[in-house]
Amino acid sequence: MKAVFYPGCTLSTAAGYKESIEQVNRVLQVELPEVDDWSCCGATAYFSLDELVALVLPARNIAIAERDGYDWIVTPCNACYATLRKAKAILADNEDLRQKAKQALEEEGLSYRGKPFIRHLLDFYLLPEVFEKVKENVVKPLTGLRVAPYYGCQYSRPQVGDETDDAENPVNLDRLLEALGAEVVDYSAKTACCGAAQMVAHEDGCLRLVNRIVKAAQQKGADAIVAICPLCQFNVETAQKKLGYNIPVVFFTQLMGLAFGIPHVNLGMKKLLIPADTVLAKI
Amino acid sequence: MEAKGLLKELLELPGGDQILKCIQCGTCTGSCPMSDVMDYGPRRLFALIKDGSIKEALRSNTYWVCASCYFCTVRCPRGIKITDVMYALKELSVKQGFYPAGEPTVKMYQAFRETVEEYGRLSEAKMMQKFGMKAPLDVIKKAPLGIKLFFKKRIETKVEPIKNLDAFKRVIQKARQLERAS
Repeated sequence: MKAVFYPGCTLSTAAGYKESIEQVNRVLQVELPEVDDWSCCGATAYFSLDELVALVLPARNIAIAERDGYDWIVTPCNACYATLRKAKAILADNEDLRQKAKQALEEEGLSYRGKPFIRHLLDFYLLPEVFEKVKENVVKPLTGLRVAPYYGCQYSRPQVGDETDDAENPVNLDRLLEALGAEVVDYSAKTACCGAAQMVAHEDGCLRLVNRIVKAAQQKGADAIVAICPLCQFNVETAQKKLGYNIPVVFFTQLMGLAFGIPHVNLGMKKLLIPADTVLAKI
Repeated sequence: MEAKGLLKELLELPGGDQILKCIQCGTCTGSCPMSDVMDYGPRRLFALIKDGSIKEALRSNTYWVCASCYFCTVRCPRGIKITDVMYALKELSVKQGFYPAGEPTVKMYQAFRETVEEYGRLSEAKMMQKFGMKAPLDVIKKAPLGIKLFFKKRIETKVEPIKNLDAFKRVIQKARQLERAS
């Protein structure tokens, strides 16, 4: 397996996600170079405006990865993950669209075959050989820390035939957090929607969605909500002030880093709007 | 365009014809987290379209408010990819100029597209600037959060375009040309 990293546009401004991924990969001795000159996947915006461009944008990144000899594309963002997989499935299924996408990509000298596996970073760390290394490197188990795993929507939906988890009751993040020694709370909102980009345009509706997520986590006594996507983390963290909550929303890689004994400042945790002091005090 | 023509066009869009399979069970509306801010839930939207009232359906905010959570899609007993039908409706409504006046999601997506086509990637700060030109009030109320994020170093101050921006633009241009020709 030769894996390449597709960071997605929102990674660089996410609250310490990038920093913590780099630290964790260093400990695990994992090499994940970036897709050369990667571009935006198009996300939900392009599927709403131009169908063919919406397919060509993810296809460009897949084609670059293929050109450079990679057979796995690993991404830390749910929206990138869903978009790349969905586009790959549509292009595999529809000869007419595939030919058109190929023709468009020829403008850049790229040839699209659509072979690589698309995987979420979470699932990459759960690959048996990598997961062994994760467990070996836990030097400060997160014993006593109660965490609410928040998967969001587009990690397990839509289903296009290559899923790694259940659509409505996924467990992969639970498994990883348990391996770090944390206590995973069972709550009703692990795949409830945060509103995604609609937080920009329809804030009132989205505040109600975040309320549902945070309330459910709080009722189960969670010390922190754990995110696997930059946009999910952003919405669930930034909306809390308006809703009167104060529960830290951390990235799963930040908890991995803490369990590996990495100082929290190196994991970008100072970038959190809701300080993770309560989390740090417990471990 | 008349209702008949609009319906024909919807049925020809990828996924659009799936609407005919709907049995009006309402699982979609019951599963939709955004239904309370929609003019109609998805079930009623589908009923309107099948009933020949596609213009009324297109003038609603329903399909714009969809957050793409795909709950309806994984639960539909008829296997309709409802989220994709919503995408088809969005495309149709922009192309035919039917979307409700003042619907902010359209402007947000257009700001997203303009940013990506300028840099090859999305910059949230640039997108919000562009969105602010189209929907100032929606952006002004976000200013206090923007200031906090700035001090947390969570807003990029400099945006670098991708290396092969010219080739990237040619790819998009070609895709648009092929789309128009079909």
